[in-house]
Formats: sequence, C-alpha cells, structure tokens
Amino acid sequence: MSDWVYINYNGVDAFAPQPTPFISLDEQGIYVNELWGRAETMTLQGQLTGCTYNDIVAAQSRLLSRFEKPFQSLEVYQQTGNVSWKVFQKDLVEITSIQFEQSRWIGVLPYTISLTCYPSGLFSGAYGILNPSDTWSFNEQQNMALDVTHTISCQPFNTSSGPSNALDNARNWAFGRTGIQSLISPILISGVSPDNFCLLTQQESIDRFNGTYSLVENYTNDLTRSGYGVIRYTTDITSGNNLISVTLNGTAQGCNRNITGTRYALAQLDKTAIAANAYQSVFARNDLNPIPLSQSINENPFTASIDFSYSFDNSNLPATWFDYTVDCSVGTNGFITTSIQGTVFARGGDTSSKLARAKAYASGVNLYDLCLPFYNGFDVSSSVVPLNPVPINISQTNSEVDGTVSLATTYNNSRQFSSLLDRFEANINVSPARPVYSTEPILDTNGLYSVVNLGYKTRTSVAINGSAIINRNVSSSAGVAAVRSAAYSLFTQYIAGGGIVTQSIMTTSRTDERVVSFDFQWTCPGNGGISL
Amino acid sequence: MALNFPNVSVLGLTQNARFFDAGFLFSSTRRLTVAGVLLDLTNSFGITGIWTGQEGVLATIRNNPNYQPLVLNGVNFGSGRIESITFDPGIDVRTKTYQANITVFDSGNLFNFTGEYYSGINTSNFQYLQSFNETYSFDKKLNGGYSYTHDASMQFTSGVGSLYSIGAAQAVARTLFTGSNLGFAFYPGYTDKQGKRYVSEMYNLISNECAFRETFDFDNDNGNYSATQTVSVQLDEQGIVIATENGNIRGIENPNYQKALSAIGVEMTGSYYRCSGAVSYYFPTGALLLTSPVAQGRSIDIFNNNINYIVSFNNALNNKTGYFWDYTLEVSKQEGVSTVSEQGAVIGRGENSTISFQQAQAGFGLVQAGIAGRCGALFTGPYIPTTNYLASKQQSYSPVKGQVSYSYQYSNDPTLIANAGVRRKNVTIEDNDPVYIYNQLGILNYATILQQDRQATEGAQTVSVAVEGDKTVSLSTFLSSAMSTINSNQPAGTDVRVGNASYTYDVNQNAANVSLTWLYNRVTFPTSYPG
Repeated sequence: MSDWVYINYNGVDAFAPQPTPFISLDEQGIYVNELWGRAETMTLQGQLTGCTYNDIVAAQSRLLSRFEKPFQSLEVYQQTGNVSWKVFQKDLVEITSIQFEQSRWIGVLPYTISLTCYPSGLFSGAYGILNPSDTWSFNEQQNMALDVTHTISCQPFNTSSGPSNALDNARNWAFGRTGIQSLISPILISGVSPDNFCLLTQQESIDRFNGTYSLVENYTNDLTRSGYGVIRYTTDITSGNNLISVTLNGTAQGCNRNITGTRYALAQLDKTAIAANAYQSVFARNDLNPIPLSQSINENPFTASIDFSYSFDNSNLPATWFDYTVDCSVGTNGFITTSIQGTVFARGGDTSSKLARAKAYASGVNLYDLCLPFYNGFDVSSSVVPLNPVPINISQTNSEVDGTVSLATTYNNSRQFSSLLDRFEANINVSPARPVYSTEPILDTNGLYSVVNLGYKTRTSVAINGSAIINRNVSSSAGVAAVRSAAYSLFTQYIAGGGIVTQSIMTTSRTDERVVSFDFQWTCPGNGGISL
Repeated sequence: MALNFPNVSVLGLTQNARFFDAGFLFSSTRRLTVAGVLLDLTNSFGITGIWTGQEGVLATIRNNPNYQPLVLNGVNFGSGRIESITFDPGIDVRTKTYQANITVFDSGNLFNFTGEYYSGINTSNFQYLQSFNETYSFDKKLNGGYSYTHDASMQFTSGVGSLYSIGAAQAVARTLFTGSNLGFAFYPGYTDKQGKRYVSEMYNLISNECAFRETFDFDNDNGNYSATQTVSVQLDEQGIVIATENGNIRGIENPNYQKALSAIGVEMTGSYYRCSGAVSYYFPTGALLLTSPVAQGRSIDIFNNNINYIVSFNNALNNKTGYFWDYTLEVSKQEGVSTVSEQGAVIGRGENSTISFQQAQAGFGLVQAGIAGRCGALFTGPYIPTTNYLASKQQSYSPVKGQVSYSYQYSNDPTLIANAGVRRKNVTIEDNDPVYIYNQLGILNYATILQQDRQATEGAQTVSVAVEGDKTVSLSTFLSSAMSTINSNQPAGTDVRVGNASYTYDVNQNAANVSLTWLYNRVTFPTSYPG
C-alpha cells in the first residue's frame, strides 16, 4: 500500500482508479447587510486517463455515476501506509456542474467538478435559509388607524441528505418570527401601542418546487384610543327645519373572531358623549337629548366586527311626552268646539317598556288644561264663555305593538250650569206681554174694523225646556234638583219682576242614561224682554 | 479583534468615492485584493499541513465577521470585511496560494452639505450608508390645493462597531421629515403648515433597509383648513328654483379635525351668497332665494378629518323666514251663494319643538292677518257680490310638531251681516193680505151667486227673524236687533197692531228666533187682483 490522497463522495472513493484531482476552495460571505452565512465552492480539477476511447468513456461514466446524487458528503483522506485520516469534510454538497473539456477522448480527458455547500456552523443567521427578509411596515391611515404588515420571507435550501427538508426549514424559520415579539417601534408615527395590535389576517405563500416561502401578518391598531380593536364612526347632523338630529354610524372592528372583546370595546364607547360633542361643536349648544331615539347593532362574529348606529335629537321633550293637536272651530254663533287628539310616546327602551311608561304618563295628562290656552285665544267668544270642562266624548287607545297610547277628547263652550250636570241644554220660549184689542168689522166699509184697545196686556209666558245629563258621580235625586235649580236660574236671569206665577214644573228622568228632560213654565206681568 | 494578514501582497486597491449626485461626498469605499501563500516547506507528502493552515485562515476570518480593523503587513487599513477568499488548486504539499477580496469603508467629506436646504439633517453616520434615496414632490392641484409626497429609503451598514443600523436610519429620517426648507417654488410656505402628515414606515429587521413616506394633502387653502364647494341650481317643473351647495371641509393645521369643525359655521354662513350668486346668474328673473335654508346636513368624520355638508335653498312661496306656509284658496258658488275658503298650515322652524311652535304661532299671526283680504279678493266675476263675511273658522295647534293649521270660510250669504257681534240674521216675512168677504148662495138648477159683503178680512203679516252671533252678544241685543227688523217691516194699513209675538232663545247655541205677527185693516185693495 503506497501513500496517497483520495476523495470520497457519498462514502465512495469518487475517482479511483483515476488520479486524484486538485481541489480549490472558495469561501464567499453571504451578507444580508451583515454576515448571514457562508457559501463554499469547491472546484475539483483532474484528468481521466485511458488508452482508448472506450476506456475514457468508461471512466467518464463512472465519474458521473459517482456524482449523481447531491447533498452527500465530500471527504478528503490522506493515507500513509495503512493509516488514513480525514483531512477535509464537507457535508450536504451540491453538485453544481461536471464539465469535461473539449478533447479527443483518448489518453487524457481533463474535467472540472464544481461543488457547493453551506457549512452549518458558518451561519450566524438561520441555517437552511437564504434571502431572508423580516419586514415591519407601518402605514398610517387617514382615519387614524395604523395598518401594520409583518412580512417574513426567505428562500430555503435543503439541509438533509435524505428527503428534502427545505420547506420545513423555511416554515420553522418563518413561524419562529411571527407575532409581535420582533416589532420595532416606528419613529415618526405616534400613539402606537403594540399591546393593542389586532391581528386581522394571515397569509402563507409557498412555491414548493422553487423553494420560496412567505408569511404575511396584517394587524391594525387604533391610534386614537387604547384597548382592543379599532372603532371608527361618522356623525351625521341634519337641521334646518325643526329638530336637529344627530346620527352616529360606525364600525367596531375586532380580530381573532373575538366578538366578545369587540362588544366590550363598543360598550366602553360613550356614544351619547360623542354625539353631544359633535352637536356642541357645530351649534355651540349643550341640549342634545341624551336618550337615543333608536339603536341599531349588526354583529358579524366571524370577522369580529360590529356595525352600529345610534340616533339622537335635540328634542327638549321629556323621556315620555304627548304629541297632540288641539283643534278649535267656530261658526257664526260663538259656539266653539275644541278637540284634542294625540299620542303619548316614550323615548328609549323596548316596546313593552315604552307602553308601560306611556300608560303611566297618559294617566296624568290633563287634556282640558292642554286645550285651554288655545281655546282662550281662539275667538272673541272664548273670553265670554269658558271652555266647558266636561268632555263631549273621550277615548284612549293603547297600542302594544307601537308602545304608544293615543288620547282624544272633545269639549265645547256650552255653559256649565252645575258641576253636578255633565250637560244642560235649554231653550227659552217667551211670549211677551202684548196689548189686548177688541176688533169688530164695520158694515159696508170695505175693510174698516172697529179696533178698541182694551187697556190691558196679556201676561208674559215663559217656558224653559230642554234636557240634561247627570254626572255619574251624583245621585239621581241630586241631579234632578240641580236641573230644577239651573232652569230656575235661567228664568231669573232673563225674566225679572214680581207677580210671577209658575204654570208647570215637569221633569222626566231616565236612570239608565241619567238623562233628565224638563219643561218649566211661568207667567209674569213683565214684558218678557220685548216691549210691544 | 483585528483581521491581521502578515506576509501578503496587495494586488490592487481601488478607492471609490460615493457621491450624491448633487455633489456631496458622503462616503468612500476601498476595495482591496490581497494575495498570500500558505507554506509547509518541510512536508514531503500529503496535504494535511497545508490544509490545516487553510482551515486556520478560514477560522480567523470566520471568527471576525463583519467589519474589523484590517491590518495588512502591520499597516491598519481601516475597518474592513472579507468579502471572499479563494484558495487556488494545486498539489498542496508545501504551498498553497490564496486571494482575498476586502472592502473598507471610509468617511466622505460633506464640507458643502450646508445651506438652507440641508441644515439640520443628521449626517453623522453617512459614511456607513449602503444605500440612500430621497424624493419629494409637490403637486399644485386644479382646485387650488396641494399634495405632497416625501419618500426616503436608506440602509446603513450593519456590523460596524456599535452602530445600530435601524436606529441610525430613524435618526436621519427624523431630521429629513422635520422642518427643513424643501426648496419648493410653488409653495415655499409648505413647511409652515403644521397640518397632519400621514406617515408610512418600513423596516427590514434582517437587511436593515428602512423606508419612510410622508404625505400631506389639502384642497383650497383657507388658512388652517381647506374648504371646497360645488353649487347646483335647478328650476323645477313647478317653477321653483332650488340651489344646493355641497361642501367639503378638511382641517389643515393640527388638530386638524377641530379646525374643520370650527370652520363649518363659517362656510355654511357663506353658502347662501354662493347659491344666490349662481341663481341670479342662471335665473335672473326668478324670485330671490329665501335666506333660510330648506335643509342642512353635515357628515362629520373626525378620524378622516373630513366633513361634508349640504345646504339647500329655494325660492318657493311657502318658504318664509322662520316658518313654512302652505295654503290653498278655493272659491265656489251654490244656489247663488259664493264661498271662499282658505286652508293652510304653518310649520315653524326651530331647533326644537318649543322654538318651532313659537315660530309657527308667530307665522300664523302674520298669515291670519291676510286671510280676509286674500279671500275677499276672490269675490269677483261670477262670484259677486263682493260683500262677504266670515262664516266659520277652524284652527289646529300641534305644539310638538311645531305646526298651526287653519281653515277659514268667507261667504257672501246675505244672511251674514257682520264679522262680530250679531253676525247672522235671517228674516222670513209671511204676508196674509186682506181680501173681500163674499157670501155665496147656491141657486137650484142655476148657479152659485156671490154677494159682496162690502167688507174684507183683516190683514196679517208675520215677520220671523233668526239671529245668532258671538257669545258677547246678549239676548237683549239679539231681541233689539230682531225687533228693529220687525219694526221696519210694519205693513201698510190702519189699526196696525201686534197680533202675536214670541221668541225662542237657545242658551248654548246663542241663537234667538223672534217672531211677531202684525194685524191690520185696509180699505183700499190692490187693483191688480181680480174682484
């Protein structure tokens, strides 16, 4: 056994029985700004020898077959006598090229083999990874949200002599860098709070044949507040004719399908204060009604987002109010009919709550008092005769569907003669006193009569008749007495003097309808209002 | 630790000056190629010695990554790094040659990096710049606004001493994006605008490439805010001119949304003048726009610093100061009596119910004063006579809705006599004239013969007067009014006297019906009747 140097590839003497080639070594730094790793290129330059063309072809075939499998070990041994030792070893060697020079392929055939490897101990970065990139991108949005994109990409290389593990290398490296642990704080953007980063989406892109790999994480961050999610809204204010309405429309965007967190974030938002601030900014007023007119919530648990809408107005009405219309009408006789109809509304809450509050409020509504100011100013007759507080009719309608209560009633200005009577309608019929004549025709006078004034007058007869309705809270006898009193009061109001004789006093009462009809008659010596 | 290469030959040295194209030498690089040889001169066989030396050189390089003091043959060449090293092929028994490529950074000379455009920029680490790029542009927009984009990207060399590349980039960026005069001709005052800039930053944690972008955009420059408007005018089929202004307000100076909010009132105050100006140009013969807007809307997005508003004006006749007034006038005639009715509604304007109802009531006061005149003007042509009085009226008040509705009816019904007091008087006269009295005598198989008695019946005339009026009118006034009419209707004849009299008074309806029968004698008869 002589002394020599030999080279094994994949555990086999790659060149025997041919001469061992020369080896050159080139080591290049792989810089990703700073040193990431090193690549080594080994160039084996040698010659195949053979006496015949076939010998050369056989040697060339043998050489190719010994270097057909990449990612195996290249070892250089030196042997002296029976002792050999390894001078050099490179693992996971890629066979970049095997080049045979132009030749007659007889005698000598020069060749060059290029081999490349990435020695595992020479990577300050991750072994198995080339072209690494780990980028944080911060984009301040016009809506004061910060879009944050974390992109991790690389081109892996195989580090296994068996099945390729390039893709595993990429995944392991990239996944190890996900999350916000590596976050670097932006320098020009203020208000960034990594604790509030909300991971919206993740993207993984793979080219498994060419070995490119990338991960993208998209975060969002609210620069205007701390806490989970991003809440954005617009405030719409309309005005010009009547009430000023303020509507808050917005979206609370959470992440990770954490709708509970989004709900909580939205609950912390003081919607009323926001609406009031916008209102105050525009109108310099502080009287926005804090109870929202309506609320709308639209949840998407999959995107952890909530669309919301709250509407307010500056109504100065209380939480429960009566929206009514008072109607006054009159003809030429000063008889005024006043009606009121309206609906009690409750602001805020659900329908059953609204109805309960509306009912409670309705029970305290004094319809007469509401009518009175309008009646009093309506007509000249209003100043003479007050509005009769006893309603002609009255109704209440409860709407369980709408949570409202409707009220309606009608009054008029018929005189109230007694608080015991709901209604008293009377006619005064008077036959005034007139002179009494004796007339006799005079014969052959073609129409001449003897008319003699007898020198006295008839008695004035006065009849007051009509009908009345007794109040339900009053006994029938008391009601009839009130009717009598009212009728006589009328009589004394219009007929004065002595010698009055009552001719008849008649009342008819019906207990079922509490109606009393009456007919009172008197005679008196006066003129009954007309002097004839 | 220094990279020490003894016994090497310097094969080449190239020093490249690195300039910004504006003439600033910010850095220099020296690229050296050195050659050396490994010796094992006592060796007679094998490569172990030489290759051990090769590994030793490589180990030295590997243990000194990035930039280290480079000492060649005892001379320090500065901070450098080994880009590559190549060991040549050979028999490797006693010698082996190698070459190494080395890069050394050196500082530049920024003596001329001065002046208003460059003051304040941090250049302390410029010698370590791997790459640098900065551009900015200003666009003067069609609408009078400006938009600005400022980009800068840079990469500082890593591994040079204690230099923190990203921190160095941030330090430069901070000075690039604050305060310096950027040299704009269109808008030299740009840097005085302290408005909100939107920033993007990008950092590659591995390559340490950093990029920064700042944008700033505003429309028409109104000082600390930007406002733009569009005005549209239209004449609809009803002949109403409607002018609408759509506006957009964006704050320029910080806090921008508050500047925008503050500007709403100012801009909307000017809306009328812009709208009326457009209307007077396109529809010069039309009625002027009412100063009170028909509708106003504002959409406030404080996050986007964006406020949109809309204001509409019109010249509709129903649009009054403080209220809207819609009404109709109707005239009709039936059985010779003409009736004119006006029905309308006054809707008050106001920020709440209280104010709007006050406005409605005030508006109705103005409207009400003109009802009689408007109605009276329609008693003409086929609807005469012109004398007319109020027949009925109705008013409805809705305090919460801020509305007053009404309906008034005027009529030339002759029974109407006044608008106050005794308002209606309806007179009925029934005459029963005297006639001769005849005796009739039937003669058998001949005829009925008449014998005039030379006497006549008594005449009777009944005058009935129905009167009604306001509640202010007393019964005695009704009776006086009625008796006046009755007395003026005494029949001619002798011995005229009261035959019968009565009246009825409805207490609630305040209406009286007075009836009186006159009796009389008459010796002369009208000749126009037979007999």
